[in-house]
Amino acid sequence: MRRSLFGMLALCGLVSSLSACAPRYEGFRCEVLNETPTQNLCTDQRIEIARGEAMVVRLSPQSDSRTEFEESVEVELRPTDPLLVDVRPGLSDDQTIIGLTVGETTMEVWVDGELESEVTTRILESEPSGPRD
Amino acid sequence: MALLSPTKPAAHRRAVGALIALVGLAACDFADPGRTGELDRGRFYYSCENTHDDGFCDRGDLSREFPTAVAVGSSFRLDYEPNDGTVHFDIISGCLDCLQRTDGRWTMTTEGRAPLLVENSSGEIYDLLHIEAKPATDLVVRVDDETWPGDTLVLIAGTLHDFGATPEAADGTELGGSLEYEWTIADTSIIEAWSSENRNDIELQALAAGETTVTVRSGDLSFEIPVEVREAG
Repeated sequence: MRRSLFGMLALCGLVSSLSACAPRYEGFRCEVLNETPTQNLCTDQRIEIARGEAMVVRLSPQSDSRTEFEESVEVELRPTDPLLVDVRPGLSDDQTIIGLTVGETTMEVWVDGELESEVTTRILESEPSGPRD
Repeated sequence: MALLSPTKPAAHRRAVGALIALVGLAACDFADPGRTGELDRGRFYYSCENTHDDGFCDRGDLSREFPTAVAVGSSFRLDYEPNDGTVHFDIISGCLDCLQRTDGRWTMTTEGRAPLLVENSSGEIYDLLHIEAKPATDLVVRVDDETWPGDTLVLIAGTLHDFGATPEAADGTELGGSLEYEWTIADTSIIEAWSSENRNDIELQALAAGETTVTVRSGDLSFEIPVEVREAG
């Protein structure tokens, strides 16, 4: 009886310590790989891109536990309004965000096939460039 | 009023022009018409849909440089050369409503920017470049490669001159892209066209003393050049 109680306590401890060690999604880090003509913004809270422009991004999941996500874990953006913004896959899990129509929408954030959050996405009017020197 | 010089007889001028063109071709004196993709995986090349309707291609299909912007509604051609020559790719539009391709001919139908996307055979975006379209608000006319300010042009009878027109945006940007042009001469007994009147560049010969006007039109835009032809000597 005493042995089985000890075993159950040990199992509970193992399960709780394992869950504490597993990475828990708390957001993503966004690295923009190209220089867009108009200034853009890419965070896990807000993405801003100009209409007619494309921003190539590399997203890395951030964990709020002591264990980080493995490099193979993918963060995928999925537009909720494909008339406003488009997302195309790129090399090495990069993604290309394209501003189609001025407005505000959200994109779903999927991590390893699970919906984790949404990110507010604004598509701004683009600024025309001046003549080249 | 300004006198255009030098003035040479037509036959002599043609021979010298041909010689200069040959030397120029041999020296390959062109600016780089390519632009590196924004992911630095290759280079985009701009070429002209019609060499006689795009001011960026006055010496053949390949442009002298990649235009900063193209005219809304104009057409042009593009190519891409990946750094890794084994990549199979297609250039696709990132804005189906504003940037369209038909039989290899690209047209931007609205003002603004659009991304040109290089897609590999796996459907992944491999590289990209933004292109911008601006409405043409003015025509700039060049006479013998000099921008003509618009006052009276004085020519000597018997001489040949190159006239060219290029669309400009309101901010002064010289615009690429093939547009339709039409040149008209008010009095063809004073000046005569030596080449087709339906292109952006034209060769005109001053025939006899007198005053007339040369007008170039492209869409709603036009530019009128008052011309006075004087007898030689």
